[in-house]
Amino acid sequence: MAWIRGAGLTAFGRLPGRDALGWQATAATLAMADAGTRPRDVDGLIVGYATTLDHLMPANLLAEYLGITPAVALGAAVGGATGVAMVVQAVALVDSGAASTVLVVAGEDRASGQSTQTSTATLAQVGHRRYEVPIGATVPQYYALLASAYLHEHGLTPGDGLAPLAVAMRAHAARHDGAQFRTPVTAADVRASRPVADPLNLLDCCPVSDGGAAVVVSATAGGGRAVEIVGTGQAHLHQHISEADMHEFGARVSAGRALARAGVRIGEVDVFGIYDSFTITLALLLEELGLARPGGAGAAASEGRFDLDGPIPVNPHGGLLSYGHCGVGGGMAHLVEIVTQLRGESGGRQVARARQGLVHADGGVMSAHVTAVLRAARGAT
Amino acid sequence: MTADWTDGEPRIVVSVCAACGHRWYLRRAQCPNCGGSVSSTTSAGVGTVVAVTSGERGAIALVDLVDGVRVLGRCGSSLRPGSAVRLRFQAGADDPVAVPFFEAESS
Ligand SMILES: [Zn+2]
Repeated sequence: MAWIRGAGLTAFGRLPGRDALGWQATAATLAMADAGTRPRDVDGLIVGYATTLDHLMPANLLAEYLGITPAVALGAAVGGATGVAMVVQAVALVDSGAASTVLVVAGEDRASGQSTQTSTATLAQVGHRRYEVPIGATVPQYYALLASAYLHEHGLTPGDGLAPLAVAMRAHAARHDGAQFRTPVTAADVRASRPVADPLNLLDCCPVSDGGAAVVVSATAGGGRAVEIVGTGQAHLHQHISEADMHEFGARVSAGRALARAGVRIGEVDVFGIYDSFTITLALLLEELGLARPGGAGAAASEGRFDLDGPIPVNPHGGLLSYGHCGVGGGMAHLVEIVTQLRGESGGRQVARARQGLVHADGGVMSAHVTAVLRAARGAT
Repeated sequence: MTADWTDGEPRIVVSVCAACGHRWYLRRAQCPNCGGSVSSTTSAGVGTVVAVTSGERGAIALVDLVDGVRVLGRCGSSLRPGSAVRLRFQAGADDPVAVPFFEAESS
């Protein structure tokens, strides 16, 4: 049994002034302060990769910077799923007794620390080095291919099948002052935005951001603000798009494992944090998780089903699409938001009676899948 | 290992497992399904578009070849999912080798 004792999330955006280590340290300090944990109390440290840092030993680098001398230190890389995957490993360390207080950190100056061209070229390396990268595809193009197949299969247009998801995420971000983009948009705005990779336009794609996120995972709750991690699961069924099963990417398997371990049915979850690097990512994940019918995610968003007062609140912070995406920290922001919701500390974006939450992240081209089911300690008997 | 377009030979090579019959495209030294040994066959280059996109770096398609593998390649801008296509090879100015390029099957 493991608990999230503290969580930290910086504002995201184009925010020059810190490098990757600076964002990691900022987020780590926020999380430790929130948990009431001192650096000397941390005996496990897990740190996600940062493309602008490109260091072989990210956990050791941050440990030295913060004056932490952990018993266990580990760098991690499973793409966008890294943040949630690190928390899963923190739970395993705590459950095994290898560590009692694990600090999990991500942060990067992904927007201001490199050129857009460098960022695009680095991320495109998730393609197969021999058979896909030479074709010249970018990450937006890989997801655009998934969108092309999806819209064709379900007879949808981008305007009805995908754009409503961007609209919903932006409406959420408007309530969070840390979000990169807060001005409401319409489906027409999404379709009128600059084409990036047909059928995806600019507003179908998350921005590149600077920022950081961190949590403290502990063997003990230590108070009513703790959030229990009641079940975790993963699935890793392919790496490259040419070997992906487009009707079984891994989300269903991963979430099924996490929910079974938690002893929770998905209908009993009150609030969701679902990875949303592109509108198509969110559509595919919502449908594979069973939160929308096949081909129905866009329509469900139009109907308000993912709103704060809807039956399936998704990404109340605005998700990657509008809160922003600083790499590993972007995928951890969903987790921090769900922790904040379950604590009842989300203020004007609080989901009523949020007691159980589910976070799901994917990395690569719908390649790595990791799920965590969380439960509020408050009100527990 | 039969040379293919990535080695500068304009062909797509399909790997076939001698033990279980599994077929795949991405080069491996053994079958990912059973570990069996690999034989190979040259694709006839005929297939159907699964997905297509066009971005700043040109149009690309994901194509299911009749040989039983899915392949990423460049393509003409008129293709749609479901289009019947035929393979040829084309090198752009920055390409060290000619890469798969799918065009509409004229039939
Ligand atoms: Zn085999």
